[in-house]
Amino acid sequence: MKYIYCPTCNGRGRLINEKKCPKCQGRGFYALIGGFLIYFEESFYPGQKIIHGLKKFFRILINSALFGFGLLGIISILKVLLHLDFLSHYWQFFFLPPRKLKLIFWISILTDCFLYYRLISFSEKKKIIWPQTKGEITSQAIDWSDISRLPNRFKINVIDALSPKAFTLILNSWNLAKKLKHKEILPIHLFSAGLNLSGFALIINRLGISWIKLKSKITQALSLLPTGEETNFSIETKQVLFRAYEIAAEKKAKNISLTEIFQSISEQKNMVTEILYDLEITGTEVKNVCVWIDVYKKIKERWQKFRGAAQLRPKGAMNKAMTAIATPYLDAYSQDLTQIARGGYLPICLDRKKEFAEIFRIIEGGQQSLILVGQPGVGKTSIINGLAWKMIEENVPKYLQDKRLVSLSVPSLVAGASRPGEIEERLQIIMNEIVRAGNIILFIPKIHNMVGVKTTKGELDISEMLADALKRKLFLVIATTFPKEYRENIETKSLGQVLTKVEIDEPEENATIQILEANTAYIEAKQQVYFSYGAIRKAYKLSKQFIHERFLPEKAINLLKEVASAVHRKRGRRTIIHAEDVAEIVSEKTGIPVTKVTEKESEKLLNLESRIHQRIIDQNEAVNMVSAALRRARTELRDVKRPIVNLLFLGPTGVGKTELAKTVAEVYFGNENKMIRLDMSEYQTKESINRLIGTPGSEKGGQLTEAVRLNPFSLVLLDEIEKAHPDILNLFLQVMDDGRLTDALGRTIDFTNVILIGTSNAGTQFIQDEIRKGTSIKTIQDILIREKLKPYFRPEFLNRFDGIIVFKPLGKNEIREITKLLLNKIIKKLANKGITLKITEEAINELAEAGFDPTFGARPLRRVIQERVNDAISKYLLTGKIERKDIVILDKNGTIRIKKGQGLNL
Amino acid sequence: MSKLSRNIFIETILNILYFPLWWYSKGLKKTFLFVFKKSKKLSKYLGLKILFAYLFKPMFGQYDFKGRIISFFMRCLLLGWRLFLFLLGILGLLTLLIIYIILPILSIWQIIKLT
Repeated sequence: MKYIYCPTCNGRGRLINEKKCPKCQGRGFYALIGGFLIYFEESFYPGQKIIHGLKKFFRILINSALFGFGLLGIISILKVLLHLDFLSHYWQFFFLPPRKLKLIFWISILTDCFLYYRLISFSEKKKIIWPQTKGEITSQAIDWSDISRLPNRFKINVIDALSPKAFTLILNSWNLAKKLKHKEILPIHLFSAGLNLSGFALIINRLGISWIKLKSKITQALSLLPTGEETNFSIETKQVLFRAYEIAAEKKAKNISLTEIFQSISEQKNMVTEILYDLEITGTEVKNVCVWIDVYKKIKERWQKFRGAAQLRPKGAMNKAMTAIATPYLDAYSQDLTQIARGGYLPICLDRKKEFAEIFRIIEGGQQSLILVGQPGVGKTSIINGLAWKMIEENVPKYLQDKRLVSLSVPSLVAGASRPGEIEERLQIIMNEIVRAGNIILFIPKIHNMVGVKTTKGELDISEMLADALKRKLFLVIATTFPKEYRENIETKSLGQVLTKVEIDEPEENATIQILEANTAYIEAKQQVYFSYGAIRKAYKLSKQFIHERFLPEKAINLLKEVASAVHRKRGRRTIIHAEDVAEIVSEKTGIPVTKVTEKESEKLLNLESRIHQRIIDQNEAVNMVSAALRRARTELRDVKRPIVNLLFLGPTGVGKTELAKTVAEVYFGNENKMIRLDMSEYQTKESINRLIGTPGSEKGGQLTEAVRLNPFSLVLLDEIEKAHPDILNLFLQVMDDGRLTDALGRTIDFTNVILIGTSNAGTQFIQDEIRKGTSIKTIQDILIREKLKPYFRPEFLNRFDGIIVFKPLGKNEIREITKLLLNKIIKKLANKGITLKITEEAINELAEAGFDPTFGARPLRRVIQERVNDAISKYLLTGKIERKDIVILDKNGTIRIKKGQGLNL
Repeated sequence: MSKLSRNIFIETILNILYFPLWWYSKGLKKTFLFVFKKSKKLSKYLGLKILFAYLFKPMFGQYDFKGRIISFFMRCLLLGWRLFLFLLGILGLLTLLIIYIILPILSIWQIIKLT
């Protein structure tokens, strides 16, 4: 859009002394849209609203008078023709002579014509002619000096294109600014005035904005504006209206409605967009909500058109040409989709233009039967329903016109057949009927169920019978199946040769969101709740990311249904569902935190290190790195196409590598058991790859792939990774890079929600030696990566890790701390039994000393504590020497003293 | 207030003056299009085009000689009946158009005659 400003007033329409600019007559500037010049010219005056109302009132008054007179004329002529003399008793008017009454009748005919003209021409006035390409002026040739020379038909006052409600909005905004004595009418005045109008309220509700917050922000913003005597429309507001005009013209709308004005306001930089930005709403979101509202309108229009078309279609099995025959046998095993659609019972199918084009091309090309291949839930049935709609609307190739789309049910075809050859016979009769009727397009859902169905030994199965008929092009079949079944049962069989494959994929983002928007209408009506746009978007995003093995758009629709019923139960009717409600349900389903970070949680995340240190002693570098990775994941700053984080833990045994992994599982996934642990020393041969990802040809999935498929949100711990065969390491290269792995059954397993941790003892001796020498961990790490790990791992493999973390060997002090940690666990367990355990410092030191081993780290410690503490106490417990309320004191040399608790003297 | 009443008065006068012009230009075009659309819809509803196209095609899949003969006469009968209905509809619609054209003239003539 190009603006042409008046050189005298610079587009303001007013001079410095606030007088109307004589050069442009106060218009200020023009916008060039589609070769037409759009301007804003309307002078408002106080009390205009009342005058508008009065004008409307007079119009209705005149129309009513005309109508009344028309009625009088009819009664007059009836009196004359039918001699209704009794009328004169009620009204003396009818005493008039017949000649006069006749005259009144003829005058009333004329006034009736006048009334008709008034009503029709008034509704005509509302229709706007949008700029079209014909008879345009070119934009290059236009500047201010050309404008006065241009004929008036090229100039459009934007006010004329406004809907009555939009005009009210402009008027209200003027009144508001006047009341507040503001100098200029800005977009915020439009916005504020629109809050009371249903068109704006609908968008605000769909955006899920809090009304209280919004209103307080607007009031605050309005109070900051400069005041003055005169109130004029600002350049910004006019630009908003021009852009609204452009949007309405692009849509070929009836006029500029509130929706277009709202969208236009949100597209420009002004106070309103600042406020919306604060409330986490961007222009794109507003635009999408406007599209949503248009989708609803479109569905309504299409429905009305469809109802009109349905009336023209004959009811029952007969076609319009009456060449068909009745198909009683087929009817027993099938459903007539076109008849169901005619009755208005099939849901609408949105978008899918590409798929329909392909289907029609195949049918038109050679009347070839076809098969829709796609995962469950991607919309195959929806496309078939859409086809039935289109057949009713006759919006299909000629071959499909005046035909029935009949859905054959394979289960009922097969059910109850006991005689040999019965199923085959049934199918044969059905096929004969279809051929004779000649007006049937057969739809077979899940056609793979037909393969292998036969009742007699050695004969052909029913799918082959069908294939034979299709080969001869006796009739047309549209079938559906899933990719796996297509590969296994159809592609290589005779059906594969006669059915042309049409692949149906998940719809892309915008199309999915539109499908969801269309579907929310049903859910909203059922649950009496309202979805905000954010909720729809979140449902799309989260179901795509977190719900596996099911497909869009169905999985998102199911998620929305679940959310709607949960919110209805929690908050009752007439509530708005926000994005957070969707996130909450997904969190509940998956155990993954996806809701917004609350204050309490953010505090927890910021203190993650100290939380982990409650279980892990020292190993600061490792703990810091893991904490940072978890924070990145929780604040959604990570790369969503890779695992949450890939880490390699290096260090001697017993220093806390596994313990840290368990802690991470507990902190991030809520449970330390959410861990898939594989001992890579079991995968040293090339063949062991089959155990990991499954054997080709077998039904069983691999140990890794199956575990991740069933628990996509878990920590994958690969113990002693250096021992795995190099080919297996290559496999993990892909996992770490792409976040997915294809198993032997051809399924793609998603690894983007796992935390991948490999542990290794490689270079242990080197680490121990260097630590003893006092070398810094950083240096050790560098040397390890550059030299010491080379014999075990390829550089590209090491590069894939987000962090390679060296665990220090434990010293005596650390062991002492760990001893305390382990003993605390026993203290807690005994406290549950009502027994207090106290351990002296000497005892702790003694246990730490006994459990310390420079080679095995803290591993022997656990055994020592088990033997010296657990075993001893359990003996005391069994012999009844310890009872509730007793205090047990563990001293050096493993001696145990018992202080008897004081019972109640009853 | 006087501005308002003047406004309404002028508007009404202009309205009255424009009325005859509108009636025989835009209004006439509108009514003609209405009649045309309705007759098209009627023809579609009665399936006339299809009946013509399939005149020699046997009905209900009866491809034998007897079936063909019966079908042909049956179709002729049906066509005749539907054509009759169509003509009736067209006649009605045309009457509507004629009434539209002559109504103002007729009423003015009657008014002049009666006064």
